[in-house]
Amino acid sequence: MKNKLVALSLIFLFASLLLFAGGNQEGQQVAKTDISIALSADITSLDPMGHNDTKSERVSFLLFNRLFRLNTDFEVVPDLAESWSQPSPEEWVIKIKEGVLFHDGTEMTSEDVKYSLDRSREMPKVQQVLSEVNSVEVVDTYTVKITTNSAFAPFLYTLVHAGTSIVPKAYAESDDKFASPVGSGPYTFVEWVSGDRVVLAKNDAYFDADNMGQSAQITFKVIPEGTSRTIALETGEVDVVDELPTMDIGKVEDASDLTLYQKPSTRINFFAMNTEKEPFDNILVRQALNYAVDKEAIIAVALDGAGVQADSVLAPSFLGYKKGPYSYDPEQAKALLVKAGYPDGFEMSIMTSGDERKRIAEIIQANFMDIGVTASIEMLEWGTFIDSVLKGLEQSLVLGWTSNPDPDATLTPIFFSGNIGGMNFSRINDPKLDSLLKAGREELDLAGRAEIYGEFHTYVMEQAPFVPLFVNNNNVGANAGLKGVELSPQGLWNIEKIHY
Amino acid sequence: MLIPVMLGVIFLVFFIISLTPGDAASMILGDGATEERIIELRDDMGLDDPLIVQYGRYMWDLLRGNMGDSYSTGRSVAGEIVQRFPNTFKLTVTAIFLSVLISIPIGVISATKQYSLFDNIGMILALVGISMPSFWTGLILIIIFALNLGWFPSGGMKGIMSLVLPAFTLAIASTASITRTTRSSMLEVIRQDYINTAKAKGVSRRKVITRHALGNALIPAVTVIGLEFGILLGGAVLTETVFSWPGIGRLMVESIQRKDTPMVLGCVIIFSLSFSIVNLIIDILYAYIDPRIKANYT
Amino acid sequence: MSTPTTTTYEKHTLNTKKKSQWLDVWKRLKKSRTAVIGLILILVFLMLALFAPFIADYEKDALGMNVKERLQSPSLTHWFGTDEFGRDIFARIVYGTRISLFVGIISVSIALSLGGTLGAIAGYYGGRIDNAIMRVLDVLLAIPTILLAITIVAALGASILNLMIAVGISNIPGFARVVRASVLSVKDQEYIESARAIGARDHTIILKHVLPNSMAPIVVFATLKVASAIMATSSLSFIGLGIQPPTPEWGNMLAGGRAYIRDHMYIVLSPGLAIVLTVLSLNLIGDGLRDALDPKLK
Repeated sequence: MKNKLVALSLIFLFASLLLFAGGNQEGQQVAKTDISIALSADITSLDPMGHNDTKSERVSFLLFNRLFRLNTDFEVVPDLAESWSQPSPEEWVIKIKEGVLFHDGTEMTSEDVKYSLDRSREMPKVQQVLSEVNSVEVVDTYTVKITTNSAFAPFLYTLVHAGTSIVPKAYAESDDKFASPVGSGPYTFVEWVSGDRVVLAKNDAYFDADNMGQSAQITFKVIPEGTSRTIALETGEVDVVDELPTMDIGKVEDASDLTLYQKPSTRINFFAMNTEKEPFDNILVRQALNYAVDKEAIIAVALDGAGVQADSVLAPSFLGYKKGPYSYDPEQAKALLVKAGYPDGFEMSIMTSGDERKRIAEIIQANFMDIGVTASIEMLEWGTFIDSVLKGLEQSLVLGWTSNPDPDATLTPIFFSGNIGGMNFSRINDPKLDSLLKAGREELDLAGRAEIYGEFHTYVMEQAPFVPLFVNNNNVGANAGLKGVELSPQGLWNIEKIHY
Repeated sequence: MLIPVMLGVIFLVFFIISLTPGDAASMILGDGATEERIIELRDDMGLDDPLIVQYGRYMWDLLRGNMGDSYSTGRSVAGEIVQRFPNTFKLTVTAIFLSVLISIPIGVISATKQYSLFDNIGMILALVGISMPSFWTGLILIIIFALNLGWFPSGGMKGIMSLVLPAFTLAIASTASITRTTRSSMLEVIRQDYINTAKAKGVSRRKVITRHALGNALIPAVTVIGLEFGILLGGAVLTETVFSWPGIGRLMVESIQRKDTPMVLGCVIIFSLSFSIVNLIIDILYAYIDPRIKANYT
Repeated sequence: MSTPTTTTYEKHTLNTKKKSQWLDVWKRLKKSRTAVIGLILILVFLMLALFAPFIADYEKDALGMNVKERLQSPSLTHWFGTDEFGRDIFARIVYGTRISLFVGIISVSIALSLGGTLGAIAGYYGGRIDNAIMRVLDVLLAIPTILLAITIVAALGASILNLMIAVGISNIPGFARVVRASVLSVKDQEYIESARAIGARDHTIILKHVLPNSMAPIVVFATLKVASAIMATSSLSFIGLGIQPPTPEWGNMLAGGRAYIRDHMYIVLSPGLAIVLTVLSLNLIGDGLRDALDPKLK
């Protein structure tokens, strides 16, 4: 009996030694040529046209190139494009740089560009991006001609989206399904351990010497929990935290070995109602809810007070901005509900994702309860949330959206009737909104545009598909020894330039 | 026994998951999809076949190692599970090892010194241990050892240090119940005749306990380890969530939030399969420790 | 031997015997210090649940947000502090007691009635029926309890009703086994046979004679299972599959407070302690009952 016990415990000991040995190998010190960046959620896809969220975008931007890119001031600058011209208002002739190599060593040609843009228009998650495009033709090995449906002034802005990345045709048609993606970007793919990390290595053969990768390896660590992200930064487990929780801003500021980067964002956070669904097809209900939400409370809870109240659908810095007419007034809200035919309120659901937005939704829920509206909250994982919203499965939602600098680049995707099924979150279909948007993008005079957009703001707030909540800062925490940390209004930018 | 039970488990889980409201095809395609496209996809996915046919098809694929593709990432479910399983394995096996290491000596000492201070404190702690929800214990351990003392990371999986807190969290409940079982079966054995005979023959107390009593007392303890493993696997879902541990448990919770039905199905199946296999091993061990018992499963 | 008068007489003595037996149990239970502590604790929680409206106002204190008073440490006005929305944590815990006890008791009742019926039928009839029922239960047992509950809620959607169904169903096999074993232990006794001899119908025998006399282990098991059902409820709520906000429940309070543990650890302290104390008290009572019902072990 005793021998058997000894044997058993030996087996146990041996097994555990094996386990611990396995653990040790992972504990190796990370050299300073490698950096790791904490993400709050896992990426959803390595296919640049298979996602439409900022986490996956961070990775896509490093693996792939687009024809154009945005600089930190949000101006369009060429990326793969060498030169471009506009023979007519609907035609864009774009010549790409010669000698751009994909990670598998093949050279990029106009065939790849045509293939990628055509693919982008078909892939469900990004098809709205190039909805203005009518056709893409190959002119010669390095030139393509893109024809748009109508004169479309901000067209180049659409070509900076991750969903318009240029992928190698031969690879994209293979069976790999972007399991180990091949792009042309400053970094090459190493591995994606789902739920844990994405690892990329520097591409030494990158075509753009000015924008070469600076660190040998970049690891994106998935750390869903806010406090854990900050701690990981403090202990040096990660070098950069992309979305620093507002409650930890002070801690990063106070730590001598950490640096806080802040930039006002163009990110507007809003509560949107699906105007296709009852009772939100009723304008009075939508207006009532605009009076019901206590934005100050939301800023206090979600941002620990560090944010600015939003009174219309864009940040105040935009051309033609005008405030909406609403203030926090539950009595007015109740009165409007009675007028709308809902004296006893109604039941509804709010869909959202993530800790911060959950807290926002809970305050909205409490605010609504005060006016007799019973809201339930449906929490989804980030990728699924975006997906469900694009499909219009939600009744209402809480979301933040980063706007591009030109008002059209945000307003058209979000309010144009043609973008229902895309980013038209409230699924609003209003001829007057459509015609104002059209006028805005065709008007060349600045003062004229400002007037058009002013009218747009007034009208859209009257229609009230959104309850605008607040505009926040982008907060990034990084190791003080890091160089090249840049922020755009969308958060961490030009990640390839970060290094020790 | 293992195979029919597993067939039943897969059918049951398959059935439960099929109760999910909403049509999978329109879930995937969205509201804007045309009727034709939805019918086409339903047809492709075989959603209109009777449940039993769908089950048969799933089983047939499963036998060839195919658990379908994730709705949300499009990646293979089996591939994802293979990638994540070692992490859950590492966590649960370390936890069970820790609890055996702690609980058996405490149980034995408690039994031999019944009603002593050690015994009383030990038993109260064991009861408290059983009563603590693992996700709360995890949070408290994080507050003490990660936030205040800074000894261990508060989450993630990186090296052996990151294993310590989740493994302990997971181990607490099973440590408590294995301690209790060891103690009570030890008490029962100590009172039996042959122990008294041995004592009467002048065999030393220590020898009586290690040589005669322990082996027999361990049999119920081993059974309990098998049962605890099931609780441990369930606990792994919560512990992995608290510690951001990239195992099957967290994958399952995430997949539920993603409404990723094939992935949820895969996770439950793999959990149940591991549980059954562990119990099979326990049965074999059982026969090994006590040859009088023939293993049930073989 | 089988005249109606004798059966009435027999029944009468049986009843008095039963009464005095439970009286004995109560006397023994009273002697156990730990069981008494458990009883007092659970009584306190029951009072909290019952008199919650006299302690705090649901709308105003437990749900009412007051961001000016958010994240306040425990004080005389807010005994357990306030949460991230400025809600009084004490009030929320008091109302959380209602939910926890309610869900715990209802889900155990579901498990007891369904599992108990299955177990009684299996034990009473034996043979093929027994075999068939037990094989089905083997399948249920092969899925770790909490995982089964998670799967059911994931499929049906998170709501208080589905939560109770899920926790109830996942506990069916346990109850079936216990009831079956109890039934087996009494079914061949004389008074059952005499009842059968006088032509009593099966379900009368089971309900009137078999079950009342095999109650002891079932009561113990049910007490312990209410404890684990409360734990399961808070676990599911913690991962977002149980009670939904704004309804205060200990598990979802912990989930909400989790982000603040670094600077405001009290926010997770009291909801966790509430779980531990409730579960502990039920475990203490269950243990005490077991010892009181089976005096030979102590």
